[in-house]
Amino acid sequence: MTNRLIVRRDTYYDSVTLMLASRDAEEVDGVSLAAAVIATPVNVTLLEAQGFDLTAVNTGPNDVVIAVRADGESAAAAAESAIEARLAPGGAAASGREREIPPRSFRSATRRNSEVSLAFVSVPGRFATVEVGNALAAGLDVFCFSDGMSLEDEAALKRDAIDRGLLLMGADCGTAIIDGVGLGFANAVRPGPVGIVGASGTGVQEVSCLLDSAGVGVSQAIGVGGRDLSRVVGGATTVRALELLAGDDTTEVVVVISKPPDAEVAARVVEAAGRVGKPVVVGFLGPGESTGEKPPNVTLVGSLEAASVHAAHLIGQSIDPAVALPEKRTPGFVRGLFCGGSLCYEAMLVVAAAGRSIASNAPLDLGGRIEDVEASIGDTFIDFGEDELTEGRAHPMIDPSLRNERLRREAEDPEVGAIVLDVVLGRSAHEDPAKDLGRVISEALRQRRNDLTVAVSLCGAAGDSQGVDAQMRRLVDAGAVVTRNSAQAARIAVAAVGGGGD
Amino acid sequence: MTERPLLGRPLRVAGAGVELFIDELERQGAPVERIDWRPPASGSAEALSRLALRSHQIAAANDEALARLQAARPMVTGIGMAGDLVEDMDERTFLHAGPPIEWPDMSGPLRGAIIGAALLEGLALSAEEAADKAAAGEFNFVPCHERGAVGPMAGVVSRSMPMWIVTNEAAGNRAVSTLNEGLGKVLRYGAYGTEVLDRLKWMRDVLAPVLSAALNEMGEPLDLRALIAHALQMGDEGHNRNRAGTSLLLRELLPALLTIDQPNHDVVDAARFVSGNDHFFLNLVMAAGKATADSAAGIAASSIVVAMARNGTDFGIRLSGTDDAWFTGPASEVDGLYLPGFGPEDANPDIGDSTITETMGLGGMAMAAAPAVVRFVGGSPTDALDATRSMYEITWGESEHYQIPSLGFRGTPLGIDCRAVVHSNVLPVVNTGIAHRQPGIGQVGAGLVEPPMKAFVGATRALAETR
Amino acid sequence: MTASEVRFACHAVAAPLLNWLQTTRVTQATVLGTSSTSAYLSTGEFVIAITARQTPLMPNGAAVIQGSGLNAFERGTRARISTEQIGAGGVVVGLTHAERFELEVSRNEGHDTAAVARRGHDLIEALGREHGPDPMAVLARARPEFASGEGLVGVRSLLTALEQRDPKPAAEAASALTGRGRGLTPDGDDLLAAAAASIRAWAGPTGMSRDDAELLCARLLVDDLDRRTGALSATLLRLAAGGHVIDQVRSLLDLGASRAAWAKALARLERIGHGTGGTYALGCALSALVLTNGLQHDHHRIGV
Repeated sequence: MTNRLIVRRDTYYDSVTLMLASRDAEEVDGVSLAAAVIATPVNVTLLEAQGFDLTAVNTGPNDVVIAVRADGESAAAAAESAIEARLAPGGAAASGREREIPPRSFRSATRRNSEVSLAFVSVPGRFATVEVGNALAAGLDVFCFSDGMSLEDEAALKRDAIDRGLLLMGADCGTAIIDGVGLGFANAVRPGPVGIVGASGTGVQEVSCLLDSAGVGVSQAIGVGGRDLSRVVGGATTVRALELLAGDDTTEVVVVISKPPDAEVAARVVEAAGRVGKPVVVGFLGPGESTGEKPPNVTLVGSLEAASVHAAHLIGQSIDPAVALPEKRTPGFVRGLFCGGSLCYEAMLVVAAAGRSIASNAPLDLGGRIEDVEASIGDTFIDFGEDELTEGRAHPMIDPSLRNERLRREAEDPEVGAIVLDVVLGRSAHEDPAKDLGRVISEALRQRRNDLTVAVSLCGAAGDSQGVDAQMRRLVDAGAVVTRNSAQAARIAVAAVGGGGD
Repeated sequence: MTERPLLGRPLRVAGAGVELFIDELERQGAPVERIDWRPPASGSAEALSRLALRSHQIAAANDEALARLQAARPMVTGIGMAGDLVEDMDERTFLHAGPPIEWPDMSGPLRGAIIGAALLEGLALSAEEAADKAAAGEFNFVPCHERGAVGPMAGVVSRSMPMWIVTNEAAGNRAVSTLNEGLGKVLRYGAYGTEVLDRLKWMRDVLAPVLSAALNEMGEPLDLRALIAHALQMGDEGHNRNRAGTSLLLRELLPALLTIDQPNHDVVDAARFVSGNDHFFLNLVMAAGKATADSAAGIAASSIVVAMARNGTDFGIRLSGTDDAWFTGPASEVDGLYLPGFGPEDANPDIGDSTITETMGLGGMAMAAAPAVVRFVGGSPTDALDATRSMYEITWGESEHYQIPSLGFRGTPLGIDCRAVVHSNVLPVVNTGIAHRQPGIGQVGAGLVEPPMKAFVGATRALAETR
Repeated sequence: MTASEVRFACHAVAAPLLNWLQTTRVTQATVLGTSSTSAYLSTGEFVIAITARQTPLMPNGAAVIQGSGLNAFERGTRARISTEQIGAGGVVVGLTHAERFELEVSRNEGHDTAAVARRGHDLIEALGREHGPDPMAVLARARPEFASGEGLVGVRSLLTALEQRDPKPAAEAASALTGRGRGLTPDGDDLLAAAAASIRAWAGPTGMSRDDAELLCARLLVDDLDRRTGALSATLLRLAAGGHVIDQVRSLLDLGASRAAWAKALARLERIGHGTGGTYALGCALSALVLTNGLQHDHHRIGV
C-alpha cells in the first residue's frame, strides 16, 4: 500500500478540475483512493483519519491537497502523472499538440486539434470556395468574410453545409456574435435576450447597438452573408439560423435583417419565422408591401430603426426614434458618404420617402444607378464598401480615408446643402475614426459656415474600445449633428435642405 | 458553467486570411488556431474550387483508396523471368522507369541502360549498333509502371532478366521488379561494359535460381510488409536506406539457403552478393509499393497519388481517380552532397521508379525513421523529424503498419492527396541517389529532391474534369 | 499569441464587489486560479471572481461579455485593481461600462411563515425527485459525508440552531462544518452560507426579530474563518451572512418569485461547480423547513 500526497500552494483549481484530477487518478489500475480537497483543518483531519500523514506537509486553507492510495509504487507514480497532467496550465488538452509547424489547411488544423469548431475565412475572394469547401469537409462551421464567390458556389456550399449539419455564415459576411465572441466587425454589446439574424453586417451592428443603448442585450447575432436571401441561394442560412435561435434558451425575441430579398425567399423566411415559437421581428428594408398571410408571432417592418424599436418593445424597453430636427435651413442637395452598406441603404430609404430621387453606386432600384461614381449628381449616396471602391484597399471601416477625402470635395460644392455620414465603431474597426473625420468636418464647416449641415450617425456600444462618448464629443465639437442611428441622421439632412424633392 | 453553446460545441476558431480579424479574436480571449495560409499553386485555383464542391464524393473515394492501401499485404511469392511474367514482353520490348519517353529525349543513364539490355538480349553486337537501332525506332519502350513492374534508376527490364514476384495477398494483384545489382558500374546507372553484362548473366543463371530455390524451400511466402515494418524501426526508410531490410531478408533466407540442393559455391557467391549490397532490399520495397498502390488505383473521384516515377527527363504521377493518365513536369535537380571529385554539373536529372516508396508512405515520408539520410543535405536529425511531420499536411491518413519510433510510433504519412499538395504548396519530399549524366559512370551523390508542382497541378485539373 | 493585449469587457459587477472596490485602498491582487470560464484573484482580505458570460454572477464577481477564455489570466501573476479595470500581465477586464448588479436577498415583506414552509417543501420535492421527499434522505444521498460522524453532528446543530433561533448550536455548527468537504468551496461552508442567507431572507415572515437574525448569522461564522477555510469560501460566507448571494439563490429565497422563476434558478444551480449550487439549494430547503418547524424533529432520526 502506497500513499502519495500532491500539494499545490496558494493555488485555485475550479471544482471540475479537482474532480477530474481525482477521477483520472482513480482510473489508474491499482489506485484505490484519490481525493482532491482544499487543505482546510477539517479536511486535513479527515485525511489523517484515513491514514495519510500530513505532518511533514505544512498546508494552509488556500492550498490544494490530492491524496492518493495505490497498491504499489508504479501505480502511485502513474496516478501522480495523471494528476499533474490535469493540473498543468492548459490542462490535459494541451499535451501532444505540435506547435512547431503551423497547419496550412483547415483539415490539417482539425486533425491536430479536434476541439476546433469554426473556420474564419478571409482569404482573397477567388480562393474562398476552396477554403469554405475544405472547412466544411473538415467538419467546421464557417464564417466567411471573403466576397467574390459565385452565387452558384455559395448555394452549393450551403447545401453541403446543411447536409453536414453545419452552418455557413457568408460569403460576404461581415458580422457575427457567437456565444459572446465578435467575429469580423462587431460591437461589444451586453448579453441579453434578443437574437439577430442578419444578411447585412452594418445592419446587425446598428440594431445591436441601439438595443444595447436601451439596456437590451443580444444573445447571438448570426450573419448569413449578403446574398443569402437571393433566389439562387434561397435563404438557406437564414432558415437554419432561425431554427438555431428557436432552440436557444437565452433567446427570447428574434430579429431578422436584410435588404429586400427575392419575393419567394421572403415568403419562405416569414414562414420559417412563424415556426420559431418566439416573437420574430422581420426587417426587410424598404417600403415594401407585406404580401399574404403572416404568422401571428411575426412583425414585419421596413427599417433597422423600426426593427430595433419593435424588438425593444417586445422585451419591455423602449427606444424613442424621434430626433430634434434642425431649425436652420441649408438648402441644396443631399450627399451621403457611407462605410456601411446597410446604413447607406437605410438613409436612402428616408430620403426617397421624402419624395427625393437619389443616384447611388448601390441604389434602391436599378433606375438610380449613378453613371460615374466619382461625379455626384443631384442627391447622391455613395457606399464606400462596394467593390469598385475597395479594389486593392482596406474596407472603409478600417481605413475611411477615401470617404473622408470625398467629404472634403462634396463640402466644397456650393450646391450641396447637407451631407450624411456614418461612423462605425467596434471590433476590427478604425481605432479613432472621429479624429480625422472631425478635422475634415470642422474644416468644411469653417469654409461654409452657415449653409452646410453635416449629420453623422454613430454606430457603437458603450463597451466598444474606441469609446462612444469620446467619439461623439469629437464629432459634435467639430460641428456635426450626431445621432445614434442612420435613419435619424437622414431625417435631419432632409429637414435641413427643406424637405421633399422637386 | 456556460449555457449550451449555440452551435452545439464550445467556440474554438481556426482562421485563414486577414491577420487583423484573427488578432481581434485573440484580443477577446477567444482561442484561435492560425492557419499558415498561402495561395494555392499557380493554375490550380479553379480546379480546386470545383473539387471543393465535390468534397463529400472525393472523401468517400479517398477513404476507399486509403483502406486498400492499409489492407495491402505484399508477399514475396517467387522469382521468375521477365518474358514470362510481363504481358506482351517480346524481345524488342524494353521496360524503363518513369513516364513514357522516346529515345531522342532520353538522358545518358537511360540510354546506356537500354544499350546494355540490348546487348544482354543479343539484339546488337556493339553499343553503337544498339544505339542506332534504338534511334531507328526498332525497339519498343514501355514504362515499367504500365506493365505491373518497377525498376530503380534507369529501371530497364528486358525479357531474360530475373524478377521478384510480389503478390498483394489482400487484393490478389501482383507486381514485379528486377534484382538489385549493387553499386558502382551497373546497368541501372547506364553502364553496359563487359563486367555489367557478366554480372547480369550471373544474376540470371546463378543468383536467381539459388534465391528461387530458397523461397521454394521456405514453403510459404515471405511477409514483406512485416519485414519493412521491422526495418523501419531499425533505421531504414525504404528508399535511400535499406541496410536493415537487407539484413532481415538474409536472416529470413538463411536456413533455406543452407538447406537447398544447389552447388555450394553458388550459394556462397549468392550469399556474399546479397550481404555485400546495402541496397538489395530496395527492389523488394519498390515491388511491395507497386503492389500496394496498384490495389488502390482506378477509384473514381479519388485524388490519391498511386504512382510517382521519373525517367531522367520527366517526373510523372498518376492518380487513382484518373486511371492510366500520366501527369508530368520536368524532372528536378537533386539538392544533395556529392562524392569527392563530382559536383552539380555532373548530375543527371532525377531518375527512377523508386519514388513508389514515397507513394506507399516510406522514403522521404518516413525520414524521421532514418535521420542519417539528412546528412546528405547537411541537415540535423530534427530536420528529419520536421520533414515527416510536414508530410502529414498532404496525406489522407497514417499507416497502420509502418510506424516511426521517434514520433511515438505514429504511423507514416500515407496516401498523398494531390489536392492538398497544390492547395498547401507542400510537395512530397524525396530522398534519392544522383546518377552521373554520362552513362556508365554510376552514382555521384545523394540528396533531397522535390517533384515538379506542374505534375500535381495537371493532375488536379484533370480530376476536376471527371464526374 | 501575437496580440499584445487581451481585453475582456465586463457588463455586470456585483454591488458588494463594486462597493468594496470603491472604498478599499488595496490596489493589487494575485491571480489564484483560472479556468476557461472563471478567474479568481485574491487581495488577501477579499477574493474577486471574474466569470464568463452566462456563468452565474457571484456576489464578489464581475461578469464579462465573452463566453470563455478567462484562462488567459496566468496563475500566480500580480494584478492591478481599480474601479476602472482589473489587469494582470497583458489581460485586462474593463469595468467602466459595467452595470451595477444588486444581489441582496429580499426581506420578503408581506409574506408569512406558511409561504416559507411552502417554498421549503417545494424545493425538497424538486431536489428529492429521485429519492422521495424526506429531506434528511435527500441530504444523506446528496452529501453522504454529512450523513454520519462529525458532518452529521454539524448538520444537526445547524438545523437545531435555526429551529430554536439559538446561537449556541449555531456556533457549534460553524465549528463542525467550516472547511469540511470537497469542492473549491467546501460543502460545509456552502450549507452555512445557505443557512445564513435563508435567515436574512426569511426572518421577517417567520417572526424572527432583526436582532436574533443578526446574532444567528454572526454565529455561523467562526472567529478564525480565514484559518479554517480558503479565502474564496470565506469571502462568500461573509457575503452570505450579510445577505448577498448569487442570483439563482436569491430567486430561491424570494417568496415573490414565481414557480417558473425559482424552478429555472434551481435547475441552473444544480449545474454549478461540482455540487456547490446543489448544496446551496439543499441548505435553503432545509432552512425553510426548520425555520417553520416543518421537520418535526425528523432530523434527529437520520444517519441510518
